[in-house]
Amino acid sequence: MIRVMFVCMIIAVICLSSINHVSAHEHWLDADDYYVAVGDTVVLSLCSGHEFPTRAMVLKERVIHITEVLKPDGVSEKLSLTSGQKCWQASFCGHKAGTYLFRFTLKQPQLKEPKYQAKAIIIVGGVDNPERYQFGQWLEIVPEKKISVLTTGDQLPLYVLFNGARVAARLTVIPEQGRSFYLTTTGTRCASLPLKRAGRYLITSRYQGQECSLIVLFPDRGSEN
Amino acid sequence: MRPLFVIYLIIFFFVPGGFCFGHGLQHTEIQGGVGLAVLYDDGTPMSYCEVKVYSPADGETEFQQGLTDKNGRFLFYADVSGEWRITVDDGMGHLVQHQITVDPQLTVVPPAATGYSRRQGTIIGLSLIFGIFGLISMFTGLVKRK
Repeated sequence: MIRVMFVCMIIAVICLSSINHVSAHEHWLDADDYYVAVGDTVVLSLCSGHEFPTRAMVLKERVIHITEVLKPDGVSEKLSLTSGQKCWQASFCGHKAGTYLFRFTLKQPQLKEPKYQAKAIIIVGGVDNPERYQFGQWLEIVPEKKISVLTTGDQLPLYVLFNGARVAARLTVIPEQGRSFYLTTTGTRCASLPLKRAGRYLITSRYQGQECSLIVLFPDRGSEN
Repeated sequence: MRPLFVIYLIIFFFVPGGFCFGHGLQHTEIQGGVGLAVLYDDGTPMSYCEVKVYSPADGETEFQQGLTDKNGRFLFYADVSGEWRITVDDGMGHLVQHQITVDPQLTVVPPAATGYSRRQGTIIGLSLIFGIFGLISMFTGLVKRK
């Protein structure tokens, strides 16, 4: 009898765990490559969907608020978009080595603050500077360590900023391959993302009615040798 | 002399005024209406989202379109009875489709109690799981006794 009850509980737990937030609607800014040489052109895609990395829908133009890149010298440049299949796209060429921070925000035109901010970090010419990982505006996820040097088995510390101040938040991590999981960060302690395998990781968070996402790509460095 | 001057004055002021009022407008305050309030999962209102209203008479051309207000609410005035279809789209992948039944007096027919909240659904789901497995265990227990 106890065994049957135990089985019942296990099944109930499995059923409940299958109701996860990963199926919630997410938006992300994806690039065809995150580690490029100087002068290479990167194609960025503004994606939306229920199951990363599958793109499900094209965002309405009226809600796309900001699409820009923050260059290594601190100058931001607006990205011009073209409507692609199941996503908006923009291309960018980094003419100088450094860390380029890209973002798009989503906002109803009448609202003051955006509802969503999606970011991507692209390293051009191997110059990776973690000080350039943040905009300091609205909600964003920020890696604390250089992402370009991480390999499988490492841990990536992450924190969440709301208008430049660290906040306690829950992070949802959706790897390109494998199961999604959750992490938590406090105002002082970083969340630690275990990099079990190479590939893209979509990390999302939510705080005070705003949502944000960040994609980080960990290349398979073993195959490079 | 004086009466003629008064007549001139009357013509001067009132005749052009009459022309102006020729395209005059009227307005009346109205009350009630048919409406919808839309919220996200976390209770945040779907503010300033696109709304389209389809009349029972024409399901293809919008009867009305507009935006929800700051609090995620939208009101319209039905002119025929039947099933009115309303869609609310935030442009970011969230779409609500709802039907409102309007009776011949053009008042809203309250919807029958349908659906459960997420919490209620979870509790019901758990109860079902435990119930089903409870019955199975009872049944297997009875079989073993025999």
